[in-house]
Amino acid sequence: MIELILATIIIPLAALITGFLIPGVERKVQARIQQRIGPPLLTPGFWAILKFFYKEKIKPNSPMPRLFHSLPIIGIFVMFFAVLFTTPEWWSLNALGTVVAVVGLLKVIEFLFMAIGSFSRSILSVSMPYADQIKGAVMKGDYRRFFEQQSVLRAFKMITVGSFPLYLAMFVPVVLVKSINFSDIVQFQGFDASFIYPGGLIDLMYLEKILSLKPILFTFPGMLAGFVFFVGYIMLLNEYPFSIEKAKSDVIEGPSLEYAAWARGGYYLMRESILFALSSVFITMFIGLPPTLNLPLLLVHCLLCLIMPILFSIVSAFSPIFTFKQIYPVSMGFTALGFLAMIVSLLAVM
Amino acid sequence: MGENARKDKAEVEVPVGLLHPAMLEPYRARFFVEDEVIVDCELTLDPYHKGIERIMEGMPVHKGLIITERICGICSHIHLWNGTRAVERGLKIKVPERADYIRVIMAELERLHSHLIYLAHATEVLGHETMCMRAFTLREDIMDLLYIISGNRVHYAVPILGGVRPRCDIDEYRLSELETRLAKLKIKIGDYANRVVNDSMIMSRIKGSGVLTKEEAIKYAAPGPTGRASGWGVDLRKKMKEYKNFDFNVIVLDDGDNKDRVVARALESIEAIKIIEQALESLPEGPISNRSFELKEMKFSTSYIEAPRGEIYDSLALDETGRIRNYQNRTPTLTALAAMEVACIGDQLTDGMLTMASCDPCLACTNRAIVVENGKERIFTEEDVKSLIRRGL
Repeated sequence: MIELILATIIIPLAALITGFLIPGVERKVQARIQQRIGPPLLTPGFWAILKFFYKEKIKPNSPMPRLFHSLPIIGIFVMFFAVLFTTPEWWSLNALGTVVAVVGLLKVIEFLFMAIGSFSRSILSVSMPYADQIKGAVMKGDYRRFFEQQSVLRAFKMITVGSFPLYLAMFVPVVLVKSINFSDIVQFQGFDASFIYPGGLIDLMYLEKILSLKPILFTFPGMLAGFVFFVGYIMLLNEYPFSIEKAKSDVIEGPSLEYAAWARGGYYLMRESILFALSSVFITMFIGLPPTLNLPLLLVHCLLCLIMPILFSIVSAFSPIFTFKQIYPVSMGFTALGFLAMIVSLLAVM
Repeated sequence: MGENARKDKAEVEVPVGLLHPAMLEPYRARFFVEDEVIVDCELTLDPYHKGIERIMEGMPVHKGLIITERICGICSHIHLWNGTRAVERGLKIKVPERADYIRVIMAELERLHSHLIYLAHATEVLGHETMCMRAFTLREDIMDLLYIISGNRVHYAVPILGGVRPRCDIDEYRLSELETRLAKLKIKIGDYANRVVNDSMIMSRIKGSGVLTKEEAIKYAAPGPTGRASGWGVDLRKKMKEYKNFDFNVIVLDDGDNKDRVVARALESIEAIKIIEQALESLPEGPISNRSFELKEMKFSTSYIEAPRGEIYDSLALDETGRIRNYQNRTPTLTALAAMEVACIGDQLTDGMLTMASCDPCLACTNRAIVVENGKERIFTEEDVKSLIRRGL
């Protein structure tokens, strides 16, 4: 029971600290590609957020401001639970330490983006104090749509087409292991009870153990699924090239336009926790190293969690924003690749 | 897709602007969309104006012409050159050949500068930050060249009546610097253009979107590279006496989409370097200005010139004391954006904003408080404008 409580406190804390670093790493990589120095490592993820918490509080232009403000906080908790579900200490709670539970939480996050956009009415489009009709225009649209509402529609489309690759990839290890439990998935890759050592001893023994793991990522279906997961990861994060929900050229920041001061800080924290949680789920499922109370292992886990953001910032630096004209075929292509990985893993276990 | 796709009614209107990160300057775009596809568009371009014509009214011509540079921060030289040119034509002032060459060199450097800002802005609207940064890095080299000749990075003040300013003469040092740096720049711009054209992700966004047919380009008088990208091969430089000694190609493309508008500017940049190289190679000896002229009353004189964005028109008269009367200026953005209103129909909403940016709009030059009533032009006074604002118009 003590281990459960300790894990519930320490692992989200580790997620938070790693999360502070991720935006800095991401920006630094992109800046180097663009032959710039880029911001200091902690500025975008930590100092910027801290700054937001000291800014003047502004009431958002929203029909339900309190709910609107609370949504990022909900998102942060949801993502912390997604990480906790993958920890060995939580596996004892029935049905929570399963892939299905994490998929459910990720679906909540996808829905959150829609909810955030639905409760926002920024001044930058319809509410702009500019009298269109007086200029002699004929009102041809039945309905005037805010940027955020346009983003919500895009978020809805992304839920239907954009999330297939990620979830398909997540179920490839499930098929290979024939179990939806994280305990079975990590055990399949060589992680056993001897790894778990509460108290945080620093010992080279752990390095040996980590090197003895047999990750699913290094199998053929695992590699395919890992690639598909990576693309799905970028899609879920709404990052370039799949950032149509917040395309700067039309809907600017999309759903989050009205977040200011501490609420914007909260929104960025939510993004950081999603970045960490998805990376953490990937490391657990495809490398076989879950976040545990064992501090050296937790440290290695957190370091491995930086790989995905580094890779996606490289992809983002070389990509324009895709419109749905490009997103549909790309998503279908990676969905097909995900199915291929699934079929190969089915053949492997038959 | 063009005008045929216009409908009487759309599902939804998505208004964009006046303030928007994809709009470098304020204008209002109302997109009428069905799902994500634009079925109609309406632009309003007049939220502000500088009142350049009003400011210049009654100013001594030397002082007044310098103000024309402030019409635009990017193509400031071409505005000053055209204003100066209009007066030189009206007063029949002979300009030394060396001065014409220096004016041409500056104009072509400015074209490079403008086209690289365009490429940076277009790639930024595409969401490709890296290519945007690279275009700005390239532009820095050109800013250095402009600085070497004029001593300024933005407002160069090179032309004066009868020639160019003495500080802008191209001596041996400047000549060798320009030649060396241009040779490197030519390779860099070529590499950049190749990188853009060979990037399948960028091409998937810009190919086939924002199509403006040749007929539409002519109908809406789409100026400069915007019209030429639609197959309308008009380039005033071919008619200008200042350019008669230079061999260059007019870049005319057929598809008329966003890709062609981007490619046209990239290719024009290479042609601009060719012109500068020729000018430097055959820079004539001799004086750089002719000061033997008399300022006197001048009837209306007009001048047209090919600016980076297209055709610029200047007209003015001088009274008997050499003060400016009825200065008028028309810039290319007005017709270019009007053409884009049609070109964006059938695009995805996100591509619609790219189409707007693809004509290289410059609102600072464009907005004029001139109305035509009953066939007579009227210049708004400050009081008129205040009165209109009070009435909410």
